Amino acid sequence: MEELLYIQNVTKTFGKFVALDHVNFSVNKKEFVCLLGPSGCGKTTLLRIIAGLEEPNVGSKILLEGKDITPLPPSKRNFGIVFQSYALFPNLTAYHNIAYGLKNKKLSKKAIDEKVREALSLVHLEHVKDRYPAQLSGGQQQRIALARALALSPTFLLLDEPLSALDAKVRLKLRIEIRKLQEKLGITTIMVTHDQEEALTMADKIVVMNNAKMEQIGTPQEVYEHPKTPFVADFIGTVNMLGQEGSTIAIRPEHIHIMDTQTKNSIKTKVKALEFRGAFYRLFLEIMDQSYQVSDGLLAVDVPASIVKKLDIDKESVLNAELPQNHLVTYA
Amino acid sequence: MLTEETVLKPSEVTVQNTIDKRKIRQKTGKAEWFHKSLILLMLLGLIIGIVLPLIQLFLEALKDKNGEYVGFVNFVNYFKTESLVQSMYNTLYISILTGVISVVLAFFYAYALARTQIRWKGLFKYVAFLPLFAPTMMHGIALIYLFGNKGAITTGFFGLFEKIFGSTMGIDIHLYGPVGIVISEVIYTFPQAFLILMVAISVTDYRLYEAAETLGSGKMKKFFTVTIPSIKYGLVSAFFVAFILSFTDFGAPKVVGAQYNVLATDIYKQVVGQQNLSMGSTVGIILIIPALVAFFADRMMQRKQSTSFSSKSVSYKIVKNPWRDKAYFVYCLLISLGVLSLIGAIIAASLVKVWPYNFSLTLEHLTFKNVAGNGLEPYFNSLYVSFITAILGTIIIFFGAYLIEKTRFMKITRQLSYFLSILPLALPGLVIGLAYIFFFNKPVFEVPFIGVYITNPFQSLYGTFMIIILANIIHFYSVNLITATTALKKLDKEFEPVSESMNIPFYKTFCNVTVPMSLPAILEIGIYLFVNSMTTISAVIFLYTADTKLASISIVNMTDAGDTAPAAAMSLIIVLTNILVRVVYEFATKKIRNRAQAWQQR
Ligand SMILES: Nc1ncnc2c1ncn2[C@@H]1O[C@H](COP(=O)(O)OP(=O)(O)OP(=O)(O)O)[C@@H](O)[C@H]1O
Ligand SMILES: [Mg+2]
Repeated sequence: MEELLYIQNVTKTFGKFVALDHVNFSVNKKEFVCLLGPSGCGKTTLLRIIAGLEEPNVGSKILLEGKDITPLPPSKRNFGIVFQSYALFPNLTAYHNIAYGLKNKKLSKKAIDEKVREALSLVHLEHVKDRYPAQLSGGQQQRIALARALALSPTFLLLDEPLSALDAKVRLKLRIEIRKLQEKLGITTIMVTHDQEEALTMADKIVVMNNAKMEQIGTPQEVYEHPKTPFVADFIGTVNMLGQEGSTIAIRPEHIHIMDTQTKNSIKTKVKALEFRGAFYRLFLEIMDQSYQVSDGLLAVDVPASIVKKLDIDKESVLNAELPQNHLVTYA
Repeated sequence: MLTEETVLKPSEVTVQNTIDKRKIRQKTGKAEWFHKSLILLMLLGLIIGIVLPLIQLFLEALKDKNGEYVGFVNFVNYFKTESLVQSMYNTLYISILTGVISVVLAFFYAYALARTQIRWKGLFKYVAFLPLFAPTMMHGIALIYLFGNKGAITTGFFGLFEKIFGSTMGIDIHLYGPVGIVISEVIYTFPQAFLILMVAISVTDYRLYEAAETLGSGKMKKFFTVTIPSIKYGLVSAFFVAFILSFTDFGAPKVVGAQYNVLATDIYKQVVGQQNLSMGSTVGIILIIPALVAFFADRMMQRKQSTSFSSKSVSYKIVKNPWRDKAYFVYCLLISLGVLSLIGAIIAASLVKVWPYNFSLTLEHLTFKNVAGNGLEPYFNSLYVSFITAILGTIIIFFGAYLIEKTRFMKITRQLSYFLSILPLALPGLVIGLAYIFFFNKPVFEVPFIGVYITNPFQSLYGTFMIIILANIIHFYSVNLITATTALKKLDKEFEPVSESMNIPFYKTFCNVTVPMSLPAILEIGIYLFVNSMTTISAVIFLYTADTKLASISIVNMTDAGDTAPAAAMSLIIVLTNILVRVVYEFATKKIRNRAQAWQQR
């Protein structure tokens, strides 16, 4: 795969405060990369540095197709951007919002019109082209903002929490739509989000950040299955943190096996609570073996509904839980 | 070509662990250069318009009559001169009294309009704003016609009551002096206090009342435990505004002050009467002090206040209470009648032949012939100055606010510019006028103590309309900058980054989006500048020449010469012009304002 963007040693301070601390990663052509992390970890700052809207500290480098673009202003970087607020111009119709950036490109009126219509059809919103942003739903505004960014045929696309202002249903729908569009156009995309589910479902590659630093980088599967740090394990999905002989081990609830018979590796537990989650139950187990300490007190385990029925599991049932070695992640 | 592998293994990348605090400077394109130059130009303009004249004023206060630097001798002399110290006490007395009365009156008025179900609310609101359209001299002149020696009320309607009731029923309030000044200042400051309190009361959270209700608070208790604390910032703010306005006002004390001296009239006497410029500027600097203190106190309070409101405030539900409504209705009616009777007195004074001897009607006073004025010329001068101030001022102020608010370049320059832009809030008009004479009238500047001389490139402005316009713009800069900034803050802060990403130069987005979206605020600024330039006296009293005399100045000249009736007439024309302009504005811009509001909705 060919690399498009290369982020090298990117550091940013605001006075004494360090917002980004030597961040390194690369983005391949046609790749969808998610910057994932809790609020305040520096995601937006990183995105704005890539866009050229913030000036990073000396030593930082951003390469676009091998060329150093760090000293270039945003206007010379050729990207499209969608902000959380969309930043649609309220006094211009959807059509003119999209046409806005094209007007500076020395195109003929007809060429502009064509490009606007094309962008509108990409997001399936031809029918609202004459409406003002205030007359559009949140999801429609979002797609118009996307169309505006795409109309200029940018080299890469930057999205800052593009879905966070929408309600849950629309958000799920747009996730799929944005990803489909990205694949169709083959446009390299960097999206900022603090929603791990969004990152897992949409990204080719996730960059997990915490406290101004990069924690881990990898495919959704890698990051989920093999979290490199306790932070990543805890931040993505649900995880049990167990203490054993001075080290910490992490295991996901669905990776723990429940059996009615005792084996060499299993531990004895008692059900303290259970929640019905549709296809499965989440059990909260008290560990009766003294050599383990669970950080939250109880061990969360996801068990298919069929097994719960078969084993007739209820409160106070005593169960054997096995922690398979291949799913255990141990931290010093 | 780097592969995925190298990135995943940070050890292979040249790892640096030290942080260099310096930032990478972006190369600047043409649009960015232009943008940065404009920001610098703004700072330069503010320095020339505010800082340099002020420095000149300070230097002047350090000189003696012969122009030699003598340090703080003038200040020492000031506090040794009993009459001057006396006027400082007088001024404090007047302004504190004005602040208290004005805030109390305005509070109940605002309370009536916000929290009761009285009739005629619209009318009461318009009447409360009427004094804004008049120069402060008008209040003084009107009071003379009502309460002066030959005033309607002093003489029991010219003996009319005596014929009917057998007694003159005249009331002499001893108008000339502190009484007249305080009444005039209260009228002058009432609309401003009212406006601040109206806003403060309307945003108070209803849930506080519900909370008080569930705790079983009585009405009085509710008033003192909920209403008053929740608007205490508004109350203090209103007091400060009223205090500063009256502390620095020149018009009213000039007309009804008689022998009662205040700082503002002292400056005028020192500068115009005795040609003692050093003492004039010394008094000017003393005039700044309380305004400066109030300015910083107010800033600090506002910072605290912004946290005490939640955006989810629930608005007040008015409970029925006929007795309360009756009392408040009578209260509002009395105040409104008071304001309207002033206008009535001015209309009467402008139209009768010789008050109080010949009440036959005439239009003679409106021609301004054979009086200390110059016919209608000052009025047309005022129109011209106000119009240009409105146009030029709106452009400069709005664009200045835009440059400060909506840029990512030159943060420190912009912060400094913001400070300078807000500073005129603490500068009384008289001080601006005085500083301008010193600065613009100087052929050469000497940089003090090192003996370097620089020819003044701005001297040609002296004595022109342009210097008056400039003084007006600076005088009203801060209030309007705040209006503009508030409007700009409501716009999405990502408009500019998005435009930059699309390679659209900033000025295009400014014209295509920022200006159309902010049109209501822009128009509001324009009308404010026009109305205030029509009525202002303090900044311009030092700056006019025979060719650039304004209507407000001719009012002062006419009252000085005893031509009170034409002075009243001139005040009347100013008020009518302002009302007319405002009404035309309301109708002409309704569409624009509605459209902008439709865009704003989310
Ligand atoms: N202009 C600035 N001046 C000072 N500090 C800033 C500035 N911009 C951001 N920061 C700080 O840098 C840190 C990272 O901010 P950033 O906006 O990148 O966070 P984020 O990861 O995008 O968070 P969120 O998910 O809340 O959007 C925060 O602590 C923020 O307070
Ligand atoms: Mg963010």
